[in-house]
Amino acid sequence: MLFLMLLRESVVFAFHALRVNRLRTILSLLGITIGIFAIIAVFTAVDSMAGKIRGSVKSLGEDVVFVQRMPWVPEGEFKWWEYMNRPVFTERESDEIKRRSLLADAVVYTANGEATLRYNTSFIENASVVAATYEYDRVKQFDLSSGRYFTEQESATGKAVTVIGSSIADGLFHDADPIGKSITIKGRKAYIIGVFKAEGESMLGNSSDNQVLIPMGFARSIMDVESERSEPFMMVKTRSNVLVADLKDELKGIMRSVRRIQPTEQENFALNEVSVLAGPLKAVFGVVGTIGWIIGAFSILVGGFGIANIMFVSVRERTSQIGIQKSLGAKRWFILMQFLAESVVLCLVGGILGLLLDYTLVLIANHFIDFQFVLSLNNITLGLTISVLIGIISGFIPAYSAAQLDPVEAIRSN
Amino acid sequence: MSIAIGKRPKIISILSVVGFIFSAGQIIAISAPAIRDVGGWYPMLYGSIIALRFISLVGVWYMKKWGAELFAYVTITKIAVQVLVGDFGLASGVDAFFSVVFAIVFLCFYKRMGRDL
Repeated sequence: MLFLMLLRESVVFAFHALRVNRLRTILSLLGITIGIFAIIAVFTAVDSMAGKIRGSVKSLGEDVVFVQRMPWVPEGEFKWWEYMNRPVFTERESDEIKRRSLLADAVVYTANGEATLRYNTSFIENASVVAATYEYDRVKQFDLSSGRYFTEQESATGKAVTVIGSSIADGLFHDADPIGKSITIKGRKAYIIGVFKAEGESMLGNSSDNQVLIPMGFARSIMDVESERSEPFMMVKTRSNVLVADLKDELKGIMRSVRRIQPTEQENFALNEVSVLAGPLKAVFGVVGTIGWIIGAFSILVGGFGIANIMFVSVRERTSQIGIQKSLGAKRWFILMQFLAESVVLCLVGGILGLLLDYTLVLIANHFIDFQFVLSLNNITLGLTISVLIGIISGFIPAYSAAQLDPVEAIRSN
Repeated sequence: MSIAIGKRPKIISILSVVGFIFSAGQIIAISAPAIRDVGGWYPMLYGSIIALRFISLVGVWYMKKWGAELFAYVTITKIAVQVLVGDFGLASGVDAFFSVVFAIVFLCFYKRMGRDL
């Protein structure tokens, strides 16, 4: 109880000392403020982007192999002219994979296009049209804000139905419910049966917000799905407990067999997986994070030296006061706590100001940029932890030297 | 503002100064991505260990028994924590080796150190 009372008194003393020298307090905590601001700003940006990548990877499917003409990350030179001459994928090849594969849980054949969407007088130009076979919902992760996904019958018979993205729904229908209404896609009417939940911008460019999804059967009546322009490809999901690498090996064999590629010939297809694409992006953010950390950490270190310097000045200024306190019975640890509390409070205030600057920056960035930055609890805790630790480390030597002073010499110092 | 300090052996002065320099380097490491990757709570624990080690070195510098004791405890704790969380690599190994050597040297002069704060 006595300890707590004395601790409280130390903190009160510390606050009083900081209030008396306002300008010096502000100037000395600026180093910590800038350091914490820099380091947490970089970590917030990197964490937000890494989180977005994780979300995008998850929505594309970590256990999905994309059978396409071009590799996402080529080994060596990017031979685009060679990739462009590769044959386009056909639905027959997708059926063959489905028939032969033992490791695939679901196989989707998909094609893409662009179209102008119309509803009464409203229209949206160059909307992304995604045509897919029935198992699309098992391969790609998405949520619907309203309505439902296609039935197998609707998909097989090519019924003119569609699931639209949230931005498309907002653009064409504003606040009205789009379910049950029909829009025109490439001159054909399609009934809206579902609306995708808003996803926001995706780091991998796979957001469903600006897409309309239509069954492959319906797509065949409005576009040439097996043409180069439609860029058809296949998405193959692994069975549970099957490694993606094993599925890739199996798919390689099946595709070589289906396309009758000789053992001496190169493959004319690429097997892509999302982790390959996410890896280089994560590495880039890792480098940005490390650079930000080095800059911020050195700012904090310099700020810490500033605090230590100010604390030495503070001890020297109050030497006679320390002497009086000691001669009146103040213990060494009380003097130590008094100066240590002053240093910690100084750094903590600096850290809180830095975090407030970060929060303001996040609010401004979120307002002007179409990206959601998040100042996480982890980063706030990290900022406060660093502030307190710098306060303890930079204030301990001055505080300890104050505690060791001889009361008689200290009183006589002025 | 002169402070009465017991006669400090040269080896203690050298090791303390080296320790202070390393502590300054490790303060920077508190917010390192590698430390953050272990877990949100780890920078706090790691930082506390670094701060305590710095404080113990101050104690050793002033030839205080609590300084040598605290340094030894903190060294053992740091190694144990790093092994437990899987953060014990080559750099940690080198750090642990030198910390143990430092602790042994400090404890060799334990009898010549003061008991008070």
